Amino acid sequence: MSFAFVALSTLFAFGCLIGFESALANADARITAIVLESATQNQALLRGENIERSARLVESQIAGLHLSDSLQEQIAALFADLEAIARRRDLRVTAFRHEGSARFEVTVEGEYPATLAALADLSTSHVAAQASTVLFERANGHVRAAFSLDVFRLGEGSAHAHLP
Amino acid sequence: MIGVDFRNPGLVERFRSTVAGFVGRARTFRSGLLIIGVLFAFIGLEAVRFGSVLHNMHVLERRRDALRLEVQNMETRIKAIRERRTALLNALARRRSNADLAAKIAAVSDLVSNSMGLTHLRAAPDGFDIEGRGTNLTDIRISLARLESSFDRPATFELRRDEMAPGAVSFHFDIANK
Repeated sequence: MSFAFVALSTLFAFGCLIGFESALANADARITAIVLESATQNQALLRGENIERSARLVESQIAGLHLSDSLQEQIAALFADLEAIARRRDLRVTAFRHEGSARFEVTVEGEYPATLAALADLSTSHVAAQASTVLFERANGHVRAAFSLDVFRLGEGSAHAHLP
Repeated sequence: MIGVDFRNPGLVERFRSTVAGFVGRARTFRSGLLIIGVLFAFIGLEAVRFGSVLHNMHVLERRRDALRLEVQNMETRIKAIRERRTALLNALARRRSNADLAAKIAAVSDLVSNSMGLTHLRAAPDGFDIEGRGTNLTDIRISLARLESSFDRPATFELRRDEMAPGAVSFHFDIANK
């Protein structure tokens, strides 16, 4: 076997080895990048799982506030709340009117401090309602308080639906 | 007739050198073959290693792609969760605002002197509107001064004699939100 053939074969073999090593180095770098990206995504998944666990609490609070309920269910819950507040504060609910959409006009009569306390009690009611306008009028020794209440409900399309 | 005369010394020498040449070439060929064999064995091993690395890389890529998809799906779910949580917090804040409004109204009514009777109090997003009636002008003046000083916004007020109740004065205080 001639020296030239052996030398060429050796050269070819070294060329192949260098090529393989270079390709292996590239592949190793790519694998390292993939592993790092996978680790980042795993962390994102873990964070996401924590958020998903907290979502149960959010959903239970949404259910507790009747935010996903139908309007009829919300009306029933709101009226029950108003009756409970009126009993607790020794008031009379004299009017409860639905004014379209999610707005209600509620009138209560009694002592002024009690009507004011009733307004404050709405902040712990089972329905998320906000008094936008409040009117107190004194007549015949008692106070008539009219609250314009906006009740919130989550729509199907958007979580912000029905929020003013 | 062809024949070999073994008694001829030149011929024996030539035969010996020919055989030695063959043996030498065979040894050289074997050495070369050994070198090339070793080198190609290395190449083979490298090729196997490279193949194994490529296989691992493809497996990892498939896992990464699956993870990417899972993370994308989770991000969509998280977005929905965040929207619902924002809506919930918004609703809770607005429900809590009833207590704040009650406290504000109580503070405003406390500013009015006890000797005066509040007859009308309206709290709305556009501002406060207060009406009352009293007989003591000094109390009315003090109450109006207190009300005016408690708001850093321009207010309007009106005083007029109550024709239905002699000696009584009605007042109307109006303050608009900015």
